[in-house]
Amino acid sequence: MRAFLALWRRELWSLLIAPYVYVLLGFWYLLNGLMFSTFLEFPEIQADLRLLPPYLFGSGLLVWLLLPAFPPLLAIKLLAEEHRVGTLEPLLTAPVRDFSVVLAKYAAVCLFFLLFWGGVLLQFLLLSWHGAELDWARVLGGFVGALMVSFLFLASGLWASSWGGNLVLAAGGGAAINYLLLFLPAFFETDEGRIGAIARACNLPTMLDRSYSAGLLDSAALLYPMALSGLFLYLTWIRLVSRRWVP
Amino acid sequence: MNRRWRLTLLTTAAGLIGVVLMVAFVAVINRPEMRFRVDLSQSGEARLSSRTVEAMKALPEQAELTAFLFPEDQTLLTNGSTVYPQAFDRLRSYLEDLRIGSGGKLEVLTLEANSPLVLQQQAVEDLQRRPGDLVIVESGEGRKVLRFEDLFQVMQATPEGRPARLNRQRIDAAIGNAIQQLASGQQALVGIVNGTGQGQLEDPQTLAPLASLLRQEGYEVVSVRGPLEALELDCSLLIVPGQQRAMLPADREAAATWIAQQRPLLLALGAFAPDDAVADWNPLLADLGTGFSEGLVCAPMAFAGGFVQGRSQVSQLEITPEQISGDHPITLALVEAGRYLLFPTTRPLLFGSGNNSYGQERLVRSSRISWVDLVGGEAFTQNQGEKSGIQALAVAAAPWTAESPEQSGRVVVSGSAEILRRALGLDQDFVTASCSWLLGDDRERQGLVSLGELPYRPDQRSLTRLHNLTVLAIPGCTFLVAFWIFWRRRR
Repeated sequence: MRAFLALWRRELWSLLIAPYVYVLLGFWYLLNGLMFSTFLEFPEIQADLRLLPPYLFGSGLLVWLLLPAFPPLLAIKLLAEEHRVGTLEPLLTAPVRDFSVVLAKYAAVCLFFLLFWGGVLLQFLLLSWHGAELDWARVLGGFVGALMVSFLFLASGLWASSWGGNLVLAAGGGAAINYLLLFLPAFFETDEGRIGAIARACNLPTMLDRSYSAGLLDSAALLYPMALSGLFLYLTWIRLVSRRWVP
Repeated sequence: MNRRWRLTLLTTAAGLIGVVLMVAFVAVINRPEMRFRVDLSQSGEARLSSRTVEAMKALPEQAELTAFLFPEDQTLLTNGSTVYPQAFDRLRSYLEDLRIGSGGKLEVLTLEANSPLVLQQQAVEDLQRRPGDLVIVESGEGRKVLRFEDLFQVMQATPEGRPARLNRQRIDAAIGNAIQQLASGQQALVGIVNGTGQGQLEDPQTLAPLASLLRQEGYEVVSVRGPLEALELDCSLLIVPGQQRAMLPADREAAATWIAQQRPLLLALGAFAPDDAVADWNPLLADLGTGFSEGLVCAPMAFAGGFVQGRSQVSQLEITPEQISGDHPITLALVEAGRYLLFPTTRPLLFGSGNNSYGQERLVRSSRISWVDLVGGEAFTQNQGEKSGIQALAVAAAPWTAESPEQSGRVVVSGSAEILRRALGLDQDFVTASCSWLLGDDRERQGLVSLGELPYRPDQRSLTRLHNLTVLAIPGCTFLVAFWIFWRRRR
C-alpha cells in the first residue's frame, strides 16, 4: 500500500508540474467556455435550464469531439513517456507489484482529470451565482456521468500508452479506441437483432443523455464504463506483466 | 517460436479472456430484471408509475412501442418556441424508463428526425403512421395511437409573437392507459351504420376512410345495417354517418332502445338528409336537449375585401378555433392546438332544451355572420325571413350520472355528415376525440402533471460577464499557470 501511495503521489506530482498538461487544460476550458456561453444564448436553454446539462455533459459536441481526444493526451505521459525515456524498466523491476503500478498511475490521472470537469462544474456555479436556478441533480448527475466516461477513456488511453515508446501511436491509438467506443454503437444501434441490442447497451452518449444528465441513476450506465475501464486496466497489466511471463 | 510471437500470443489470449468476461458482464447488467433506476432530478415528473409497470406485466405477449420524435407542427416551432426540445427530452427519459421497467416485455423504438431515413420510412409505412402520431403501441392484434396532444398540453403561440409553451404533460398516464387497454384486450367494437344509404365500409368514396381511421385508433370496426344489428352485436359505439332514407321500424325501435340503454352514439345528419330520417331521430334526442333543425347553415365568404354570397362555397363552413368549445374534453385539445375544422353542408342543431337529466355542450358553432338557408328564395343567399347568427353545428350530451362506463349515455350529434366522409381528412382529430370521449376515455385523462421550468433570461451585462469569466478568465488563468510552471522549470 505504501508503495502504491508513493507511486500515486509521484505520478500526480509529475502531472501537476507538467506545463503541457496545463496547456491542454487551458484549451479544454476555452472550448468549454465558448460552448457554454453559446448555449446560454439558445432560446430553449433560456426557457428551461434543465436542458443545459445534456448539452455540456450529455451527447453534445463536447462529448463527441473533445472528450475522446483529451484523456489519451494525458495518458501518454504515464507509460509511453516512461518507455521512451527508459524509466519503465527500473520501475517494473522495483519491489512493487505491476498492478499497483498500473493502478497508481490510473488513480493519479483520474484525480487530475477532476480538474477538467471541475472547470465545467465551476461554470454552473458561476451561473448559479448569477441568479440562475438549477436542477442540481441533473448537473451533478451529468458531472458524474462525464467523469465515468472520462475515466473509461483514460483507461483506454493508459492501455494505448503501454504499447511502446511511440507517443504519437499512444495518443492516436487511445483516441481511436475512444472514438470507436463512441461511434460504433451509434452506427449499429438501429440494427435489429443481437448486434443492435449490444450496440444499444453500449451507447455511451445515450447513457449520458438519458440517464446521468437527466438526473437518473441507472445501474447499467453506472456499471458499463466501470467494467470497461476494468478491462482496459487488465489489458494494460497483461501488457506489462507478460514481459516477465515469457523469458 | 520467438519471444516476440509468444508474448503477443499470450497477451492476446489473456486479452480475449478479459473481453469475453466483459461481454458476459455487459449482457448480465443489461438484463431488464438486473437493472434499476433512481430518479434524483428535482422534478421527477416523467417517471414510470407502478400502475404502468403492473399493466406491462399483464401484457399477454411481447409488445412494441414506437415513438416518432418528429417536430412536425410548425406553430410549435415559430418564434423560438422550445416546446419540442422540452417535450422530447422528457419523453426520451420516460421511454428509457419504460423499456427498463417492462422487464423485456416491451420493445421500444425511438425514431428522431435525424434517424436513418430508411428506418423512418419503413416504420411510417409499417405502422401506417399519420402526421402528428407520436407514440404507437402494438401488442398482438391490439394497437393504440397517441398523438402529441394526448401526452402534452401546450399554450399556443400568440399573434403578438409570444412563442408556444409547454404547460403540462401526462406521459405516464397516457402510455399507461394505452398499455392497460392492450393488456386487458379491451378493443371497443364500433358499429358503422350502412343500411340506410351510407355506402360500404370498403368503398374509398364513402366509408372506407372512416373505418380505416378508427382501426388505426385501435378500434374493431364492423358495418351494421342499423341500430338493431348493433344491439345484437353488442357494439360499444354506434356511428350513423348520414342517412339517405328513413330507418325500418325495427331499427327505429332499436335506436330508441339504444338511447334508453344509454349506449354511446355518434350521429351525423347533414343538411340534405331526408325529413324522414330527421323525424327518426328528433323524438329520441329531445330528452337529451338536442336535435336537428331545418335548413343549411351558410356563412358569407371573405373575398377581395368584402363578403360574397350566392355561391355553393358558402355552405362549406370553415370553423376557426374561436368557434370551437374550449370547455369540453372532445374539443379542448383542438382549441389548445389552434386547429381549424371544416363543416360542409351543415344542418343547424337544436341545443339546450332537454329533461334536465342531461348536460349539453355546444362543441362547434357557426360564426355570427352565418345564416340558415331555407328552401325557397335564392339559394346560398340570405333572403328575408332566414334567421342569421350563431348556430350550433355539433353538440355533445351526457347524463349527469352515468350507469356504467359501457352505458355512459354519451351522445355526439353533428349537423354535417361530411365530417365523416369528404372532410374527414380535416376533421379527423374531432372525430377521433369524439369516439374517444364517447367510449369513456376522458375518465382516464387524469394524470396531467404541471411542467416545472427553470427559465433564465439574463441581461446582456450578466451574459457578458459570464462570457468573460468562462472564455477569458478561467482558460487565461490556466495558461498563465502553464507558463509559470514552464518558466520555473527552466530556471
